[in-house]
This record gives sequence, structure tokens and C-alpha cells, in this order.
Amino acid sequence: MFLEIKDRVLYIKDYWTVENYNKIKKQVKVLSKKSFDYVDASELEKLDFYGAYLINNFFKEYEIRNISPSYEKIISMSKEIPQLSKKKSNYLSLIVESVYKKIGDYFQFISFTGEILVDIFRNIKSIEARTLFKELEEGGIKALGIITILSFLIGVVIAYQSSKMLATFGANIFIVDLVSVSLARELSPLIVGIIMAGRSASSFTAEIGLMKVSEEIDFMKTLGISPYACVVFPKILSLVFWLPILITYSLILGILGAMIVSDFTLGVPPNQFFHRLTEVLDFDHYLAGIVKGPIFGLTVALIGVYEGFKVQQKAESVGFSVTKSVVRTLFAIIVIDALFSVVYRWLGI
Amino acid sequence: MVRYIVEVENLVSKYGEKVVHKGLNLKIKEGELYAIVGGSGAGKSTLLRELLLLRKVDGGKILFKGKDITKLSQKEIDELKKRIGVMFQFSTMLSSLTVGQNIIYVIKKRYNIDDKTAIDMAKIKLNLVGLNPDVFFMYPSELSGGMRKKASLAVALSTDPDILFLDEPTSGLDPISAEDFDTLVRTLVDTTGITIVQITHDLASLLFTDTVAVISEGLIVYEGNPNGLLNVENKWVKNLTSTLRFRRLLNGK
Ligand SMILES: Nc1ncnc2c1ncn2[C@@H]1O[C@H](COP(=O)(O)OP(=O)(O)OP(=O)(O)O)[C@@H](O)[C@H]1O
Ligand SMILES: [Mg+2]
Repeated sequence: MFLEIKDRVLYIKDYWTVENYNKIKKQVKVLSKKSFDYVDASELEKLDFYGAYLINNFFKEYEIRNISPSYEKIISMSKEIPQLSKKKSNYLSLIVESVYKKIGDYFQFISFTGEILVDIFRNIKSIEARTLFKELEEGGIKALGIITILSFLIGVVIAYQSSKMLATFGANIFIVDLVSVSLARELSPLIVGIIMAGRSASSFTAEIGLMKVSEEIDFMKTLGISPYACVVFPKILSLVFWLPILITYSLILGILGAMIVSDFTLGVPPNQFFHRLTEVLDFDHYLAGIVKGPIFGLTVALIGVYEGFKVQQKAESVGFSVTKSVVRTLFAIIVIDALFSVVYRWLGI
Repeated sequence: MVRYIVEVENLVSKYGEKVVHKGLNLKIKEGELYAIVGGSGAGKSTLLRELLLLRKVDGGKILFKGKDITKLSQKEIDELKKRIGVMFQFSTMLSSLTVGQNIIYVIKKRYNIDDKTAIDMAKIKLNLVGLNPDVFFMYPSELSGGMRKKASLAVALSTDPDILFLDEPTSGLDPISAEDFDTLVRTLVDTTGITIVQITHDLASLLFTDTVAVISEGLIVYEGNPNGLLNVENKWVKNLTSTLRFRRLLNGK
């Protein structure tokens, strides 16, 4: 019991605290307001802000007697409830705003790219060999493992999938044409591009984003160090350098996978496979694929870095930015790949 | 009779080979303002993490209201945690929620309180710590360091805990806000009977407290009235009390 009425006096008692809030509220609600003249707090064991809130809400017009000064203070501290001015937002303006923001983002990206390039050329001397080597290791060598496995598996899967069809036509040897050309022109660049989008773009965004949050970028600027030249340039260079190599590597492993499958399922022995390979895989095909390397590398690095720099002074925005950077990089890589196809077709390559 | 809300007995904590606490003892009375001081790396934050059940002790006991916390059931631990408030050094809020939502979330997560009360309580607590009502709709990231501290205090106070732990509450506050903070903490202790334990480097807030505990070399070398610090025979305390800042504060008092 938290309440008791004796001789038209309401005694509030026991613990008027948050644990008992709901129980007390239930009792107070059924109270008939005419059955007492004033409230007596002499039996109150404990009062916190929740109890005080109830008193303010239900016994506003009553006198409260025998209350200790500290409880009185709690009641007065919880009396004032400020009004909130609610922000209104309308949906149309929200949509317009978000479209506007999206478009603005593209322009911002372009101007950011320009700014970076100018800055890098101006500060080319301050680039450190140490960071460059670190980035080269991070960007390429550490990606070899996953590229090995995925490329090999893709080679295996394509050869395996096409082997049935080719066997029914008796066109076993054409497996070489099919696998090598599609890998060289399309699949290897795409696999490598996608892996790099997941690995490097995300890590660039996270790294630079955290540097921004911890004010490290600002610190570099105050020291007169260009973060673009010192942090960004090694990353760009590393990817532009590595992607053609990784694509070549991926191509070799894909073909290796296909070669093994062909031997087992189509009865095309490796020496025959290899001979055919030298006939069908022109240098042009290889070139058509490899050219995409530096472009993909640049795309991955620029988007990753751009999203990192866009991080505001708050740690939680790093997570959003990383997701955004991966999605945008993947999108960009596939669009650029499609553009390549159109251009190649047009040029007749 | 004096009742202790927290008692630490022969506490030992280690990080691998490194021993941080070598059998530390302290007692925090119910309803007092208690400060823990000590040099950088003395093990204050480690002690705090142990008191908050975030870290297992390597030896000794911690008693909450006379009960050994290592012997509590999960249910008792959950109940105990509901009665503890904490404010870490930087921010003690969920970043994905606004300040208002943070307070309401804590209230509703701990106690089944209706929406209107929770909202009103959030406003009362923001008002109490001296924040503008607009802060209700703002995200923690949109606040300045000092505002973030105050908002974190409002979150920590949201369910009127029995004991509140503060890790360097006044660092990063301007002197006026720091003074307001100390006054508020003092008022809360005096009116609501809450126990507040603060780790602090702020000598001015030290003088507001009832009890000061000094950690040095893994032990509590002094536990008592802040004025008694002057008579303590310990190198670190001597160094502390001979600092100009400390002298000036005492003269001013
Ligand atoms: N995770 C950890 N691993 C190893 N050692 C640690 C770890 N955390 C803390 N320490 C060591 O334990 C000791 C106490 O650290 P603690 O953070 O508790 O100090 P503190 O008193 O809070 O210092 P400050 O005033 O600087 O915050 C330090 O010497 C520190 O090096
Ligand atoms: Mg600490």
C-alpha cells in the first residue's frame, strides 16, 4: 500500500520510486479526489523523480504537509517540464531534397577528383616511399589469396558448365576459345574489380573516415602535410599498378582451372589445350581486358577515398560511408565495364 | 549505523603479468559523494570496469549492498544493473538515437513505464542537467563535447539509480559548466540520497566530495575527508597537495 486515507488526510507512504511507479499510479488513479483535504508525507520512506512526477501530476491542487525539505526540492525540480517545438517535415520537400543531394554528390565527386589530382601534382615531392610500399603490399599482395581461389573456381565452373553442351556437338576443343576469350576480356577484370571493391574501397573509406573522425586529417593539414598526396596518392598508385597484374594472374588461374576440368570431362589433354590457347587467345583480347585494370583501380581508389573524406566528425557515419562506398564502387565498375563493351564494339575490337 | 553500498575487499587485477591492483580495499557509504583520484595509469578505469561488472576480478571480492557480486544469479545481476547509472569519459549514449530517444529508451528498457511519463521524464532530466529542450531532438554527434557530457548525465540519471559512476565528468567542460556540474552532483546527493562515485582529475570538484580515495601503486593509500589529504604520508599525495593549484584552492576556501 502506497496510500492510505485516515480522517480526510491522504498519507503517502513507503517507496515512491521508479520500481513502484506503475503500482502507485494505479492506486492514485482510482483515488476519489473528494475524499481527502490534504496530503501528508510523514510516512514517506523514499521519493525519487518518478514519485515526485506523480505528486506533481495528481496532487497539484493539494497542500502537502510534513514533507522533508529534500523531498520538497525533488518535487520542485521535477515540476518544470519544458515545451518542445516539434520540427515539421513534408514529404515532397524531402524527396526533392534527396534528389538534389544525389545530383550534387556527383558534381562534388568530380570536383573532388580534380582537386586531388592538382594537389598531388603540387605535393609530389612530399610523398614517402615507406607509405607507398605499405600500400603496395596492402593493395596487391594481400589480395592474392582470395583472387587465386575465386579465379580458379570461376575457370572450373565455366568449363564445367559448357562442357556438356560442347560434348553433344562434338566441339570439345572449342572449350579453349570459350573460356580463354571470355575470361580475358570480361570475367577476369570483373572478378578482380569486384574483389577490390569489397576489399580496398571499404578499407580506404574506413581508414580515412576514422582519420577524419579522430581529427588526424586536420592535424596533417595544420602541419602543412597534404593528406591527398600522403594518404591518397599511394593508394591510387597501388591499385593502378596492381590491377593489370592481378587481372593477368586471375586469367592464368582461371585458364588453369578450365584446363583441369577439360582434361577430365572433355578429354582435352593439357598439351592440346595449350596449343589451341596460343592459336585463339590473341594479344588483342588480352589487351582489351588488361586496359580495364588501371581504370578500375582508379575508380575503386577514388570512390573509396572520396567516401572516406565525406565522413563528418562522428564515428557512426563511418559505417554508413563504408557500405555506401562498396555499393557505389560495384555499381561504377559494372557500368564502366558495360561502357567498355560498347566502345569495343564500336571500334570493332 | 553506516550502511555501505559498495565494499571492495583485497581486490587484485592483472593484465597478463602486469599487476594493477594488489589487494585494494575501499568502502563507499550509501548516499555519499565519493571521489577516486590517482595518477595516470594507476588503475582507476580498471576499477570502474570491475565495479560495473564489465571485467572479472583476478582476486578479492566486490560487495554491492553486502552481497558478493560473483555469487549473484543472472537475474539478480540484471536487477542490480538496473540500479546502476554510469557516465563514461566521452559519451554514454547510443549514437543512432536522438538524446530524447536515448533517455526514453533506457527508461522503457529498464522499467515498463508509459510513453507520456517517459517523455516528460526525459524533458525533466534534460532541464535538470541544464540543457536546452531543443537537445531532445538532436543526435549525440550534433552536440559539443560539453553538451554531450551533460546529455550523458541526463541518460545516466534517467531511471534515478541508487548509485552513479562518473568517469572524469568535468573534463572538457568550461569552468562555469564544471562548477554547475559539481553543484548539481552535490544537490542530487543531498536531496535524492543517490550515491555518486566519480573518478576525477579536477581538484576543484574534489573539494565538493565527502570522501576521497587515492589509488597509488595498486593500493588505496588514503580514504577519507578531502581536507585530510594534507596529512597523508605518501609520495603521490604529497606531490598532489604541493601543487600550486591545490594550494590556491585551499587558500581560496
Ligand atoms: N587492456 C589492457 N591491456 C594491458 N594493460 C592494460 C589494459 N588496460 C589498462 N592497462 C594497464 O593497466 C594500468 C591501469 O590502467 P587504467 O586505464 O585503469 O588507468 P587509469 O587510472 O584509468 O589512468 P588514466 O587516469 O590515465 O585514465 C595501466 O598501466 C595500463 O597500462
Ligand atoms: Mg582512465
